[in-house]
Amino acid sequence: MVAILKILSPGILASLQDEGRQGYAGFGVPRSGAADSQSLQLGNALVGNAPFEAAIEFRFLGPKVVAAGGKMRLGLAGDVTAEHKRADSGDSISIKPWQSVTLDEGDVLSVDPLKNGATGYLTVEGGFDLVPVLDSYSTYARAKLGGVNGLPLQAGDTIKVRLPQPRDGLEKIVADSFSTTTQTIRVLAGPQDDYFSKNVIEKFTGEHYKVSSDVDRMGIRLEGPELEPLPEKGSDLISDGIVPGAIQVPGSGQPIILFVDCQTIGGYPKIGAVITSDLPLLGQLMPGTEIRFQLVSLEEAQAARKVRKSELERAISSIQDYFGEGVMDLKALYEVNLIDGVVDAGLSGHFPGHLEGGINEKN
Amino acid sequence: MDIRVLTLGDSAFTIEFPKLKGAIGARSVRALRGSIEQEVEEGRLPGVFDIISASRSLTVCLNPDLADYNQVTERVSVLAQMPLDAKGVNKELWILPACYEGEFAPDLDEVAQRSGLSVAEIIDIHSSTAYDIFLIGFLPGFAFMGELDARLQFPRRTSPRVRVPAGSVGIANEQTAVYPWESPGGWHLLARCPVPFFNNTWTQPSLLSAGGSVKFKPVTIEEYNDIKADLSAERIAPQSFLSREGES
Repeated sequence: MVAILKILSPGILASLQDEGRQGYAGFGVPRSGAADSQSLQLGNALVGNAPFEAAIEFRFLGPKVVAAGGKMRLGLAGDVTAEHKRADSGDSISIKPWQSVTLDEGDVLSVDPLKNGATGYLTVEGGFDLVPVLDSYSTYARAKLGGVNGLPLQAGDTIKVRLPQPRDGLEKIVADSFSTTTQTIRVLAGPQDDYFSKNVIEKFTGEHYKVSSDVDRMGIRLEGPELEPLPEKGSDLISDGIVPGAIQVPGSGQPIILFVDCQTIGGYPKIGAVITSDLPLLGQLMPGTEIRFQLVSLEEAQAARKVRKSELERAISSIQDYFGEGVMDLKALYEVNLIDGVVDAGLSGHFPGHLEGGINEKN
Repeated sequence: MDIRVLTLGDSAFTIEFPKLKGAIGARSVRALRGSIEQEVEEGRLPGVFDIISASRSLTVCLNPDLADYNQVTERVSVLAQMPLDAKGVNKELWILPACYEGEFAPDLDEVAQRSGLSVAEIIDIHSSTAYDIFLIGFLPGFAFMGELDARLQFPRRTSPRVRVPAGSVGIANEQTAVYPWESPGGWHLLARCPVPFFNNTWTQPSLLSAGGSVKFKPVTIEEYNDIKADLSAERIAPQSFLSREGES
């Protein structure tokens, strides 16, 4: 028996992504990979996968999928909700953000439109059974690399799951997830900060920039005070290397944050580059959001990376069994009683069969 | 040699030879790339996972969890200031068919008008130089080559085309290139080349590599179609257009 996930509707820009393609920039191949690598890692932890197992990334509007064959467990990552329609009973169950859900054959999962972020993931326990291209499953459509046939997911696409069926065990939920939204993006100055006067750099960090509607995996265009280069420098330079997070300032003076699918070299001056710890936040920027840039040092960037890492570790360690809406967490309840050493007979949980209600009333 | 080290976030930096350009710049960048790659291979630069060559600079990408940014920067700066190793210079010469006719050459007339040359002269000038491959970048397999004859040098088109077909041979400023993929683009298009430039199943996914050279050989539309058919039926391999082999 093979478990197969079928795309009924891809939503907007759904594609398979993992950690991205490393080591091929010298051939002009963009890095690609998850727009929010932190959410991808937590979503994979939710279903017991390695951190960068390939998952379905969706932007703004989620996909609708069906378990076309077999049974599989999916993880819903990001500030995203979904509806699980059961084939046997016809019941619809609401799925919370950061929750796993098991689809029986014929069950449909419809991801709701995203409200609080731009990017979500569907991870699958055991991972998808795909062929890596240049060491990665990430989709880069322009050169038809990775994913399913090198393209974003389309209605009717089917993807095999490596596990014939989920391992035993309860559904999981992340009890204490991290925030994926932000107003402040931290930046290291350079490589061409010398193209701008001190006043312009102050404008860059002092004023707000609005995320325009032109946001995709290649770049995030911003609107705000114009950043004019020094007249003797201009806006044209001999092209040099670019990486996701670099903030380039073309002739219009409106900055563009280059993102995961960006080309490998570019000819506009780059005033700064977003630090590694804040790259996942870029994947969640919604059009219309006001952001501010803050210049930091290399040491501060390193410290921020450690904080981000411990945040992810804390979220992963908060993953716990999930019994469903309104059902009590038995294990937690027993632990509480064990630690207290006293059994509160007044607590409905003391009597099996009377679990529901009691604690909820107390809460 | 003069170098500048430029910060590109906390997981990359660019090392620039500010005084170099053209073929000499490309050669220096290639030599430095070789010595960095060797250090990486020998395990002396842990965490370095990507190197991007540009025409007079090189960008080193590192995983900050595995690499010490300052140590890598220092080591690469030392390498950049060492005398360039002439060994392993790429002597590859590719002779690539190019059809300078009809719909394959949408900007030929305009370039003729602006340069005051005849169409035949432009084809002759463009196809008589063996161009140095400066770098591969922008798109997978896209080779920046030069230098173009001064008579053919014009800035990019003021409004870029939304769709440049794959295989288009373009010129802009002192460079020429072939678009390996359909993409937007602002170069003046003179011809079409039937050869594929990138395939992820090749050992080296990009047909061309920096430091080699390319000469275009004019072909008729009929010849172009034949070559294209032979390539897609795998009767000939793209590698068969290599007329002089690599390293020496």
